[in-house]
Amino acid sequence: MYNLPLKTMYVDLNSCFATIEQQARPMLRGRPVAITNRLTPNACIVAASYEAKALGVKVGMRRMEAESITKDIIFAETEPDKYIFVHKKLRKIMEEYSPDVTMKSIDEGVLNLALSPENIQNKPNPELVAEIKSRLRNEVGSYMSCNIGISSNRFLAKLAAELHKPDGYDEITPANQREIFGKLKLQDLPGINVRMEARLNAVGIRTPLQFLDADEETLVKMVCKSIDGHKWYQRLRGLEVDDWVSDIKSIGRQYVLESNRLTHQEIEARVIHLAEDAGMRLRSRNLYARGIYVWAVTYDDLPIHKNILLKDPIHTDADIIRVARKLFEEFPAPLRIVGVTLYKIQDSPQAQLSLDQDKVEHNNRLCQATDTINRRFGDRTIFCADSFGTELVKVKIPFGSTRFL
Amino acid sequence: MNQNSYSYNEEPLHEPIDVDATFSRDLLGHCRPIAFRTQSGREVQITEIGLVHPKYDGLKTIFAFDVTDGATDYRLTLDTESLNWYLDFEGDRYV
Repeated sequence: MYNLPLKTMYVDLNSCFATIEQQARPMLRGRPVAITNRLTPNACIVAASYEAKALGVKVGMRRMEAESITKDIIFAETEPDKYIFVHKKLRKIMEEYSPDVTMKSIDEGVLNLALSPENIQNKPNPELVAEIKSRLRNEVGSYMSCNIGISSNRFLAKLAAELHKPDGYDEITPANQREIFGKLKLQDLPGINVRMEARLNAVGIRTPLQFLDADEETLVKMVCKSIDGHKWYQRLRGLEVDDWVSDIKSIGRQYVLESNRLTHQEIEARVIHLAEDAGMRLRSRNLYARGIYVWAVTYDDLPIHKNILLKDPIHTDADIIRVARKLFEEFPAPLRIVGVTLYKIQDSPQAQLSLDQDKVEHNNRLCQATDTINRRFGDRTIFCADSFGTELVKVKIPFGSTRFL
Repeated sequence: MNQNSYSYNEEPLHEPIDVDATFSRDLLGHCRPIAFRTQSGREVQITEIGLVHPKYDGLKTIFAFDVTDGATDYRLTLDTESLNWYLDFEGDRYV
C-alpha cells in the first residue's frame, strides 16, 4: 500500500433494517429478529439482527428455513419510510463532516475527509469516529450503531469497516495492511465474488496477500483481461479508482409474486403496476426512455424476457403500459418474479415533431395532471384501472442506488 | 399467541386516541407523547420512544411515533393536517 493520507471514511449501519426495527420497537431488542418484505411463509429474509445471525439465520434465507433453525425468531415486515428516514439522518450527519459525501446504498456511505473544513481535519480520527457514532445514537436512537473504516481509498475503507462488527472502527494503513490481509479470505474483500475468486484461483492466487503481491501484468492479462486489472492493482495499494458517478442507465422495478395461483391477467395487472412505478420514477427526473424490457422467472427458475427499442422516446404511463402489456402478452402463467425495466434513458423528448402532435401533447398534459394529483394526495390516488387490486406491489426497500430516496 | 411470536396487527387500527404530550427542543423530536387513552378508556403510560419518523401521504406529513410501555410496543401517528392522534399498531404483549 502506498503511503497516502488516510482521508476516506466509510460508514456502515450495522444490520441496518433489523437494528432500526429494534430501535423503534424496544420489545424486539436482544431478540433474534428477521426482516422480510411480506409476512408469508415463503418470504425471503432481507435483514437479520445480530442475535438471529448468531443462531445461524442468514440474509437470503426463506422464512420457513429460518423457523426450522430456531422457533424463537421474530419476523417483522419491512417499513421503507422508517429506513429512508434513518438514511437521511445518517446522510445529514455525514454531510456536516465533509462536503463530499457519497451514499453507496440505503445503509452506507463514504466521506472524503480531504475536503473537510480545517477544524474537522485537525481532529484525530478516533475522536471524529466517536463523535459520529455518538451523534447517530443521540439523533436517531440509543440502540443504533455503525461500523466505521478509514483508509486512503474507498475499497480499503469499506474493508476496514467490515473487520469488527458490530459498532467497530478500524483503519487500514501501510503498516497494518499485510497483517490484516493475512487473516482474510479472498471473498472477504469487497468486490470479490465466487466468479472473481475462481479467476484468481486459476492463476494461483488463493489469498488476499497473494492478490496484493500479484504483479500488474498478471492482473491485467490473465485475471481481468481488461483495464479492471490496472484498477485492482491500484485499488489494493490504496489509490482511489472508485470515485466515479454513473449516469442513470436504466430504471425499473421487480416483484416476487405473492401466489403461484395467479392467472395471466392477474400477473399482467401487477406488471402494469410496476410499469406505472417505473414511469413515475422516470418522470420525477424529467427523463425519457426508448427501451422497455419485461422479464420474469418461472417456478422452475426459467428466465423469460422480451424487450423493444422504440424509435421515439416515451415517458407517459399510457405509452409505457401499452408497450409493457404488449411485451407481456405471450408470457406464461404462473410466474414467480416479474419485472419491468426502462432503458436507453435520455433527458430530452423526441427531436422531431410527431405527425400526431396534438395527441402527444394531450397525453403529456394528462400525465402531468395525474402526476400532480398523485404528488398532492399520495401515490396511486389516480392509477390505471387495469392495475386495480395490486396494492401488494407497494414500493419496498430500495436496495442499491439511493437516487430515488 | 405462539409463545415466541411477537407481531403487530397487520392492518392499521387507526383508532382515534387522546394523547398527553410535551413539546421541547430535543434532538429526537420536539413533540414527545407521554401517555395515551384509547376509546375504551384504557390508559397507557409511555416509558420510551423508540423512533419518530415522518411518513408522507402526498403533501401531507404524518409523524409516526414508535413507543413502548415496557411490555408492549405501540405505533401512534399524528396527522399534521388535522392534528389528530391515532393508535395504528399494537404489538403482542411479550411476557
